Amino acid sequence: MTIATATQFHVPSTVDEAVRLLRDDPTSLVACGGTLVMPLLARNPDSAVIDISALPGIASITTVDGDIQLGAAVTYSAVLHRTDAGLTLLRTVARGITGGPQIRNQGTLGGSACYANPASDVPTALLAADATMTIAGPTGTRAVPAAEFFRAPYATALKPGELLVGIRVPGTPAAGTWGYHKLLTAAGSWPIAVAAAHLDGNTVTITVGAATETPVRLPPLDLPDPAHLSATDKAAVAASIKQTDVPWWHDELAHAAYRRRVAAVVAVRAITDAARRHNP
Amino acid sequence: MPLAALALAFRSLGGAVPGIGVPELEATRTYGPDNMHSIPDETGRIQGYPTYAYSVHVAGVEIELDTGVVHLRSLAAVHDCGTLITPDLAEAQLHGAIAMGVGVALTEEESYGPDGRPLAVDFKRYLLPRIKDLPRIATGHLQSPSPFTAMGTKGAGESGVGGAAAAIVGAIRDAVGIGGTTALRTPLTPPRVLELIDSARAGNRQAAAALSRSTS
Repeated sequence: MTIATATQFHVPSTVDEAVRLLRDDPTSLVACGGTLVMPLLARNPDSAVIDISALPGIASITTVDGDIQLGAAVTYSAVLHRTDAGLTLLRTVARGITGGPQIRNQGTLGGSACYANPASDVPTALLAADATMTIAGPTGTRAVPAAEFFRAPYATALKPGELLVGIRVPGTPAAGTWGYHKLLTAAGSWPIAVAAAHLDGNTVTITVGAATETPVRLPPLDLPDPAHLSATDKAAVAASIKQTDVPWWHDELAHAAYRRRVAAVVAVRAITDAARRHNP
Repeated sequence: MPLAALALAFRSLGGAVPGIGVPELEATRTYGPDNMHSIPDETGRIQGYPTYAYSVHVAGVEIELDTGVVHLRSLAAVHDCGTLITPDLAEAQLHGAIAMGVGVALTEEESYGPDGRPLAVDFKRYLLPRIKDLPRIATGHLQSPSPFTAMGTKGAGESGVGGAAAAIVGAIRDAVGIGGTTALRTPLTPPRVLELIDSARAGNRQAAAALSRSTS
């Protein structure tokens, strides 16, 4: 990859400095692992870059008031090295990130969240995991639930001059098991449809993404036997998904009608995965 | 002075050979395979390439009927590039070519927006096969020396691209149950394969309806 022109590259050492830099030039790209920013930079070489990896605590995982606080620079690998029950779903998602250890060691959940590519894992996983996004800006710090963070394709609740500094998830997760499934068209593709399923007894809560412009959490469904879904159960899952009013996403890899159709299949596979983990 | 002695004198003494100003000694030999014909024959044909490699390919696929995702379960090829000079290189050429054939058949597509802007601008959108997309490839080599080249060699590798692609598309046709005559647009991405499955099922329903009419 060639970046042909000199780029302004800032490495702020405090959040205030980062916010000031971002306010002075809101077109700056905020980078951390760089797995998304570097390819963008090859095409938009005039963008300044603000590398937030030197901010204090930005890459650490801590416990705050019973929540798990992930700094915005926490990598997929860092999540994989933790055993916290509150990170169960995020670990499953991190394990499945394509691109091998190079990407998992370098890419961050925060970066993926801010990029907000509909066809990705992290937005769906954060919504399913009840995450709260911690945002720093010129007027201080504010918290935004994941459900309000992902506004549209490639658009988040971040305002000009704001940056994501952390992600909080409940430290004590709800009882039950998590299942996750993503549909790829090839090993290297962006996800076409993903689904996270939380299963507690006979009640399943499904969060669908990649197939839709923003992730969607469906109302809980009661299923007579989640480990062995009948045609009626599968139809109920499909009907629940079809009721969503979030537009279906389309990109180079798959059109909207395809995504609408396979979303239910992916959701059923996620439920089966959750049921399998229930009875190991 | 014999030519050999002259050449030796030039080589050892260069410009210091007495009586010769600037030593210029040059020999040219050319070789070309003798079956290339750039002058059209009476029917206008030319032969632009001296030797063609041959190969036979077999592919086995498993298809998810509810998503159209194709899993390549097996690939085998027997390849004939004439005399094998460096077997490891010929084998590697064939493997690479087959991987390209997999991309042609299943994933690689240069798509464009309505304004002509290319959409497949990176390798998350222009999907080359990765190692997880490929099965172990079984290969064998026949050696039928070319009568037209000095050592009996033929081009190695390129026949793997089209051969593998055709075998994979044939396997998908067979698995889905559509006839072998309809032209299909590659790559056969999951959305396109799902459409094929739909049309095969519709065709089967029509055939079943016709059968029940003819027997009732």
